[in-house]
Amino acid sequence: MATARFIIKRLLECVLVLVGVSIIAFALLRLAPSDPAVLMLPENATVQQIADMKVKMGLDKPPVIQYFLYMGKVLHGDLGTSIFYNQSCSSLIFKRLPATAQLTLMAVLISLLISIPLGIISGIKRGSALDFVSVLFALVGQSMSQVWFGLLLILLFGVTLGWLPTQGYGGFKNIIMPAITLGLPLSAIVVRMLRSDMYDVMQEDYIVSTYAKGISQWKIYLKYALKNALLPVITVTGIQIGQLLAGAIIIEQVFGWPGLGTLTVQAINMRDFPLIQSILLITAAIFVMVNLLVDMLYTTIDPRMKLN
Amino acid sequence: MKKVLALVVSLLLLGSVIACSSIEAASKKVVTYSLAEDFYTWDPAGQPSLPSYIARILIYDTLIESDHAGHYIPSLATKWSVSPNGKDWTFYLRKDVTFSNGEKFNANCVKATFERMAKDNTLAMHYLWVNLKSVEVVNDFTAVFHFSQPYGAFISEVSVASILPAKALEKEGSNLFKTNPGTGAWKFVSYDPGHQAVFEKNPNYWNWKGKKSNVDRLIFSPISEDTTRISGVKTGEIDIAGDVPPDQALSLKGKSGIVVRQDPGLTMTFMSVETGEGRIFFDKNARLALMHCIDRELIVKSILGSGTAAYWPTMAGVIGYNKDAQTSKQYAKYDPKLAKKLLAGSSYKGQEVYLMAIDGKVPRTKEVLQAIQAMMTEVGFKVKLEIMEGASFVAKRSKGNYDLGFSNIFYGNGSSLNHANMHYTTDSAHTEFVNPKQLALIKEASQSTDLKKQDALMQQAFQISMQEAAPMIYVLSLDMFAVHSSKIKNLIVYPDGVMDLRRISIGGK
Repeated sequence: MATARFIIKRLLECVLVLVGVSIIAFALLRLAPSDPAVLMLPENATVQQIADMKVKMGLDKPPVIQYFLYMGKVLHGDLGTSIFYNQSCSSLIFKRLPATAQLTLMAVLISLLISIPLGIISGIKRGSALDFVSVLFALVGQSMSQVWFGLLLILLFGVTLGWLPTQGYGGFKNIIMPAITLGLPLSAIVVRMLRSDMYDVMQEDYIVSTYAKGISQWKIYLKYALKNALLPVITVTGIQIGQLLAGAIIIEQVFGWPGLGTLTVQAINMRDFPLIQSILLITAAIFVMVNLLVDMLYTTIDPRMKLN
Repeated sequence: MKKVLALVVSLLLLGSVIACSSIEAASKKVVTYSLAEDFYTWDPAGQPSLPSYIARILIYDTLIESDHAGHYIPSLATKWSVSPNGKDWTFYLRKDVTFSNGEKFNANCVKATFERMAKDNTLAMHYLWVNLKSVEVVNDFTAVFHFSQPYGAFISEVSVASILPAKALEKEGSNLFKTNPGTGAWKFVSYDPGHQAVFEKNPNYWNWKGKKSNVDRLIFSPISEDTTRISGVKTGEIDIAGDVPPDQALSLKGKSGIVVRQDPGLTMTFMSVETGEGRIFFDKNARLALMHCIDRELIVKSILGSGTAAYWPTMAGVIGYNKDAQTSKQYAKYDPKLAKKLLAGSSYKGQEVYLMAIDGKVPRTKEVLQAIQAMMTEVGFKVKLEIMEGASFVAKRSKGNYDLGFSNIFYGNGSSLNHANMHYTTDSAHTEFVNPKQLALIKEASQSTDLKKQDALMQQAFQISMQEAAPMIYVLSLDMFAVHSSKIKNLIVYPDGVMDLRRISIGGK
């Protein structure tokens, strides 16, 4: 019952967040310099031509009216029509979303596969050579430009060694380099966080008592220490999924990955208002839902936490 | 046991289906080409971009064809003529052409295509056809264009106007550009924005000219990152890449299996100069100081490694070119001492010059602009440089919120009339520069159907620009680069960067 109440409450908050996002997105787009009607016409377009183009694009009405018309459609499940592609925004977005979702999830998976073992070992073997390597990895991972790192991977594994495709979409091999590039900063954060959390947890009294009970060392690390050390990692990973979605915009450009990122950049360049608004609404909804899932996951890992 | 047997049989069937489709896919010859940009629109009368120009050549035909350098040959029209007053053009059409949707090509298609552009002022190409009164259908295969005044750029513009199917256009309206039926050598198959567009060979194309492509499928893939696009060519994932920055292209020269195409292009970079009263460059001496302070050759040699310093508004092969002025550098010679003197004699009092540019319009935009900024500073200008994306640039420039706007233009078909009409006559860059004599010369050139006369008139018009250092200051013309696999043959790359992939083949001569 408490769980249901919590979910309903969070879903209502989610609606408020989405309304807020829609207002901010709408206002910012209208404040941005230039006009989509002008961009669709030649440089020497007359005032009359621009006015007629605005009518054709549905941009002739006052912004507030435009906003309510747009939101009215959204409430009926219609995200509007892209003014450049002449296709429904929802079909464009949902065609691209799986590619971005694949990339984001793979990035999370790869980064956790790398960072969790490194973080654990680094936390329990402080001062060792492996700890030094982990710290160095975290430092480099957080400070290196993702674009530069991506290009290095392309040149090394794509061009020089020929092991992986340099760009494109479709096969498992295509996703490896973009996912590693996208997941690099998350790996670095998780390594640093897990390293210090594991170290702190290992100093706790209950861990000392497990030693006294004669439980094996790795069981202590993985069953008793890691469970507590993972809680902040889950929070950070949840928040970082939003960051990864945003980061995917750049990484998709680098690897020619046909996700939401490439669509977003094109829509922004051409000031495709309905499409940008819809992309922002959908990504905000995903972000909120991921955070809700993370909160729920908390109680599974640590039953002491109450949802309310 | 039965279940196991069924499972084995199913797996075998699935395996054979996959194997068959793999064999089919492997037997199909596919060529992938990649550019930095994606399509803005599939409407041939919409805002043009490099991908759409290339796709139009694949899917559609035009009444006459051009080599993009001012030479024309028949295509859907077998011959044409113009009336003595230059206002009426008669086209005689081919009788054996069919669109990919089954519709027959005839004079109604010509009428529908051109009258649509003339009447609908929300189409980007409308401005080219404002003086078209009507297209008369004399019979199924004869069409007459009636203009309110002679149109000098007519042949040039007709050669890039894709002919649409009249009946389908009337029935489907703008939805026609989701299926794009044309009479061309390739058929539109699909388009996935930001990912790829697919074309399939039209084996029954009427104009293969004995050079039928042996490729079955063309895939266009937009990749905005230059390094990735070029890496794809190196690894063989991409067969042809356009929009190639000079440094990347030059680094590939001599590499086995890769062909680097470098030719003088038709793209000219310029700075539009806001010369309105009270503005810094209202003073002619300040403009001339700007003209002489830029070391164009240094930029070409040290920063770009390719291209040509521009001492005249057009390059060889373009209407209005003056070879003597370009080679003698008489109007725009780099002379910092003269520039300092001119600036000292002007009304310039150290105000900040706002120089803005579109990112990516020129290779190494930042380095080129920083060099210009430093050269201007050297002679006494105080310059604020801002590089921005295209939409913001256009918004600022159209309102005159700038002093110098760095951009470029390409002289499609070797004609400078579009540039002159757009930037001089209608002052789309908001330079506020008006020279009645110059405008009269441009008007006369625009209404002349005699190319020699156009050339002479435009030379005079451009001479005024060079003497006045307004409304544009020309900086350099860019070389055109394309990179492709050496197995690709019969690829035509025009000087304006447009590629004709219609007859490309894999292997052979």
